[in-house]
Amino acid sequence: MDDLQLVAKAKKGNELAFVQLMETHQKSLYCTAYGIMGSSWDAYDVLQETFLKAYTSIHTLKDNSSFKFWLSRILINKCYDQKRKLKRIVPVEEVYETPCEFKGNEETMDLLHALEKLEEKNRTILSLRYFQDLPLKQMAEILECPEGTVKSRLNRALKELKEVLGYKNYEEVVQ
Amino acid sequence: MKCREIEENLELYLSGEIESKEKIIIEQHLENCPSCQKELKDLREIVNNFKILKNNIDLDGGLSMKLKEEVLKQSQIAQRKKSFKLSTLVAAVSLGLFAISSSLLAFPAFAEKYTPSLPLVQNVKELKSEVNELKVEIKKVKDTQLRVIETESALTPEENEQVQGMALDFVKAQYAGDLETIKSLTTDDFYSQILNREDEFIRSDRKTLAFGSITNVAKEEDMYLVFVRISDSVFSDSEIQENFMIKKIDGNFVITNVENDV
Repeated sequence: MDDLQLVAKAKKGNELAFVQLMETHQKSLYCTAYGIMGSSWDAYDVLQETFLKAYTSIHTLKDNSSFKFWLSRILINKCYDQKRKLKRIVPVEEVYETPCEFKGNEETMDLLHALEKLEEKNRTILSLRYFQDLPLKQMAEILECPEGTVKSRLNRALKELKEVLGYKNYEEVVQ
Repeated sequence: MKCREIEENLELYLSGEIESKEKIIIEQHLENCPSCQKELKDLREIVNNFKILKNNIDLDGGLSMKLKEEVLKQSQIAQRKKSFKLSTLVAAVSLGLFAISSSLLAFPAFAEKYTPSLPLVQNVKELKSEVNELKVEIKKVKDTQLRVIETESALTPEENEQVQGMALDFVKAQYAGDLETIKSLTTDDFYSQILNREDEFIRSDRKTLAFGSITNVAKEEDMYLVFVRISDSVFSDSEIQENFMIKKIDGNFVITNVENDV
């Protein structure tokens, strides 16, 4: 069953359909939240809050085909909420276990660690683009800025990422 | 285009979010520019690694299950709390009656004993005596047949039926998109609010309006309250409740506000 059918069912209160939607989207949402929050447990909390909000307000979704975009918007807002909450909380002890594990080759692990080193706004834009797979237009709506601004911010973020990853430009390679 | 301009557009070129004219220019440039070719190759590699990272993440099976359970559990609690924000006696009583088939309310003594702190149970306790005085009847209000939840009313039966009839006429007009009727039933203030929030109030695009029930009219100070439960093509499984607030101005009843409770 595709997203559209599941969303229609979930809107009528079908819990199983909603759980299936959670399964479909949890990986990309978790990665996006991780990219923005920079911590696995915070990302997990955000994911939980996002699904909770989605579950209680799915009936307000007007266009079923925009479910993913709608979900992304909730996620971003929950990330901001979580950041506000964290400002007020002083961590008592470190938690070493993580709710999720990223697996991959050396290159992808390098990417993950590089992402962690970027400025928050750059992590956010890259996460929305490549984990959440959003087109420029929807990113502009979520980030409440013009498409042109998103484009230049995306280019800046990619530039910073490449620097951290140690990519060299053509001239440097030739030399 | 110079290399710098090309580089700025490579990301959109890769994602396909670029106009065909620009696409041709970029492709022509790429043919002869090893520097931009390398930029594109690097970009492709990064985008691909993001994809691998996302697909290979291992959201611990047990935790994933726990997440689902937690969401479903919390959302059910949240919904229950939301329902009880209605807080007026009639709303709570009518809700209680509708939920009577659920085990918690079917066995209030059991619930009182084991979950005394739940707001739901406390409400039930408080309302128990009033519930005993209630009755539900299938009745015709004006020309609509529906369940009527009877409480002790401060109104005469004629007035009661008049106010209920207004609420039903309002709902029918919502579904017919009949603004004229809505205008005749509401205060000027509320009518202008409706016009501003047409997508919320006018439902002529929905079908199969069915009335679930109506409470009889309760009076709180100078406000008359009546609650109507309906369902339609959008909300067929769960019902919608519309809470009507009506005032008597110069001897005539007018609707001053309607709250939607889904």
